[in-house]
Amino acid sequence: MIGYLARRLVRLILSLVAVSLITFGLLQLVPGSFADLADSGTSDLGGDSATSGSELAQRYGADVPAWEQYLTFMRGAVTLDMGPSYRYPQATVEDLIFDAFPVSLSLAVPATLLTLLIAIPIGVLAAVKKDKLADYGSIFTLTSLQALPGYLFALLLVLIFSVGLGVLPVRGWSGPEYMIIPVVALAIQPIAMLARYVRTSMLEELREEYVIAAHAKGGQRRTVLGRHVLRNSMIPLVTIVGPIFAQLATGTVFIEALLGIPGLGRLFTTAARTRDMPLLMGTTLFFALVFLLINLIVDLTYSLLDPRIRHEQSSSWRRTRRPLRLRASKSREPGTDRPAAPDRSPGASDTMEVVRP
Amino acid sequence: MNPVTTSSTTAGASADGPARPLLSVRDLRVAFRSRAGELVPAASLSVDVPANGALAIVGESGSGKTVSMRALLRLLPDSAVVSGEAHFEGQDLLALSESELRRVRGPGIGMIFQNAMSALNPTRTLKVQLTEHLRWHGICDRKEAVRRAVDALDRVGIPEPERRIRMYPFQLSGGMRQRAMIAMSIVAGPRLLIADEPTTALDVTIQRQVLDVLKGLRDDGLAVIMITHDLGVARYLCDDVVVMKDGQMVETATMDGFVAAAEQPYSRRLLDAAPDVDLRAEPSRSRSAAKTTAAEKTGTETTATADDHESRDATDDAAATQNANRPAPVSRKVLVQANDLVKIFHGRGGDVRAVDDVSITIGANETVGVVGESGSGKSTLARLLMRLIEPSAGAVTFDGHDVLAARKAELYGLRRRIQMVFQNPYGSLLPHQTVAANVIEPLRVHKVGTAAERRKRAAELLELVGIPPERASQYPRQFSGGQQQRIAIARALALEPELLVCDEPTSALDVSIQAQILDLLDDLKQRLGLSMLFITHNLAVAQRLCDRVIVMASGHIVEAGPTADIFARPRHPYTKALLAAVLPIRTDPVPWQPAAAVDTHVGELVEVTPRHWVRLPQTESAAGQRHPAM
Repeated sequence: MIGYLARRLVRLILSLVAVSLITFGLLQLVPGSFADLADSGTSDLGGDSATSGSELAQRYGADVPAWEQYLTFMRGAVTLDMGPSYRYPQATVEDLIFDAFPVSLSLAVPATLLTLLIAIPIGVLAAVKKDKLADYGSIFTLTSLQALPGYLFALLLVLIFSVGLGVLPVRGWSGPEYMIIPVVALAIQPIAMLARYVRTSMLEELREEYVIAAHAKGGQRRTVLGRHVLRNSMIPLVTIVGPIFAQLATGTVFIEALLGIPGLGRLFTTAARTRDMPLLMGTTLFFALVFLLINLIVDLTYSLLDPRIRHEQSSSWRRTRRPLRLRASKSREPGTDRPAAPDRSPGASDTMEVVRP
Repeated sequence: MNPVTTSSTTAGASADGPARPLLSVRDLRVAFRSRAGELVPAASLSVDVPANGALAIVGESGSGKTVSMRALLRLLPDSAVVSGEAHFEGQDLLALSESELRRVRGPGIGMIFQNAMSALNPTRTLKVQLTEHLRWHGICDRKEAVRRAVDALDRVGIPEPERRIRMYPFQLSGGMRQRAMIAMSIVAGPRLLIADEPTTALDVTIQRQVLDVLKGLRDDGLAVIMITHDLGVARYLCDDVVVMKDGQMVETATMDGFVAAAEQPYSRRLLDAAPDVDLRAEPSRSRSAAKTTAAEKTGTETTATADDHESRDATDDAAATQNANRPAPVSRKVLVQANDLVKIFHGRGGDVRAVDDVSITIGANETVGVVGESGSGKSTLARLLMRLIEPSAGAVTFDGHDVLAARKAELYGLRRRIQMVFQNPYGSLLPHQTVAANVIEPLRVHKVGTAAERRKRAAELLELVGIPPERASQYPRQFSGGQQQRIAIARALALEPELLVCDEPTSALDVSIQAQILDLLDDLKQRLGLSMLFITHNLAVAQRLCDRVIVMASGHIVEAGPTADIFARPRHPYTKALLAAVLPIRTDPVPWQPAAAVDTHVGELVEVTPRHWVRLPQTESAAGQRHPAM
């Protein structure tokens, strides 16, 4: 288990290095280095360029070679000192990220919970009522909702609840009531996706013979569904809920931009728009880290939930058996003088001698 | 049809009044509503099972055995329409309310399934699965339930039940899992067990163990309904038999009466087609021995009576064996020669010697059977011979060519001469190509002939295996399993190979189809002069088809010899145990104990009688040399 974890962590770090190299490489290809931006005046670089400009120039100036810029940044990434961003020279990149992340997180957590709360019952219902009205109806609705982009749905919500009824604020981020529309808008597509997944997973389990066996033991339909079918069909869901959460936690560009939420998505778009190399590198690396960590957690959870995988990784009873067989087969060797005749084939008796001790 | 009220005299129980049967099924009819709304009949049945009785329902796949039994407990999907009556202890199962029926499922009637791996929930421990229904039915509390579950595991012969009950199904071996499932179905104390092919997926020795568990349960007073296609299994466990075909009852009889004199033509066909091991067969009676000449028999006897083997020098010995092995009608040119083959698979749990130091030869026009339980290395051996996988050590020659040293072109040429038939015909055919295209696929790969010639060849080949040429443009899925296997055989024959490697070619097929395929293979062998390596776990099939049989256990050859010798005079304890575990239909089964103590690894292969090799421990092998006819 420890070895497995260590291997996974090494792979995680290698992935992060790869991501940083690709991002940095791409940014070098894009016109507009720090030197260009500095030359074109400080209009794009907010704040007081005089004080912090020197530090930026020191890090990313025209006379600093690209590989050194990269190494400087990476050193900063490891020591949590990524330096100032082009656009916000007073704030360091890590400050910016750590300010925005809680905002995105406070949308992602409720949105994920909402997804689970709605998608699982719908999926189960659709599977149990397969080929009936409840199945067709829910799947039709979900498919339609999935086809509707989240930001359009957000606009719709704004039109109804903010403009029409006036019960919710239109945009901004200054209280819990501001969370409602973005959370619902963010959850709608994951709900559709997850519910269909739950349905498929349930149907797969329902076809298994152990379901019949459980009924043959006299189980109530509800008990069998809950204790056996639902439990087993939830296991593969971890693999899909993990990425859904990661996606939401790293910010959603459209919704955050549309509703004026200062989350990671907005930070990223700003960085991209202004070609803010340090901030882009920082956010990209952070996104990659979140995704990789969640993937790791998903895999670990999976083995916790599914005994088959858990025991594959640390099988105790299998391992003790096999070597015995090896030793046993070796036991033939000490039988002193093994006859020289190489052909002990049972069938090659044509010209064979009977083996004599 | 008149249901036969079975005589439970043979069961020797039901002293307390056999007047009313435990289960009485009258006019059970099952049909499935198709999407178009039509009713498609699936099964109809009327049977009686007395308390402590045992009824076998036999028939081929699709005959409605499983459907009718599941209909009794109303375990079929909603599309099933069931009518009739099924009285169990005075209640009509088909008229009970859902909650009343639930009280019968489990505590009244237990059910055992074919595949324990799928019938047990893989993510719950045995403890959960063996105790949950005790509490659903309010039979006892959690603690008592665990105690009863441990008892049940103990009763079905699972060692260390206290430890094993905490395990997951996949942590148990196949036979153990099957027994755990039986424990699950008896823990609630049912009076009737419905066993649906409970041993079909198991090796013969494990099958025997599981059947003995069921037999023990019968002795404890349970009644059993056994669904099976294996008449040997049916005979072993049951007093009465019902034959089903296409959803209809064909015949009901007592088991002994059925085997002795089945009335219906279909029943007789089923009996004739069923492969039956004949353990009393003397070499002279067996078909393979019939082919051998008097010269060989004389050779055998000479060796057998030659007490003073010191007097025989090497040349005499060689001459004797040569004499024995060159009977006039069968040419014994060596086609395949494999020496000291080893295949080690490197797995997570350490190295596995799948094939360990195996040497075999296959002569021209000879059929060599490789038998053994699952995991004995049979299939690995076949793949090594064809160099589909690379051996870890050893040598293989095919008609004098070194197969392992062959470079691309040579190997390509050699593979033309060896073809393979697989267990699952549908899986081995290309589903999106017509049957003709499938059959000539090898010709295309090896660039043999023009398109027109290939088409002609396809028609010939299909005719050879008994597929009407006008069906050549149909697709594999439009054929039955047996026909698909014929097509696969036709494809294997397309390149006119010299060696046909058949890996369990009939084990996925029904018995009557199996008999047809075996006849076909036998016929082809005679007509085309094929050599064959025939891998099977079914000893009866091997006895029927093979000239020589090699018995493998955990990667080793434990015994090898002429078929008749092996079956009539097995020498190795493992072979003896394997043969004793087989359930014959017409003869009584041999008393049997699990041969757990047999060590298949020790010893050297020793020729005890000409061409009959046995792996004997060193000490015994010395004795064997002095008394070759022991």
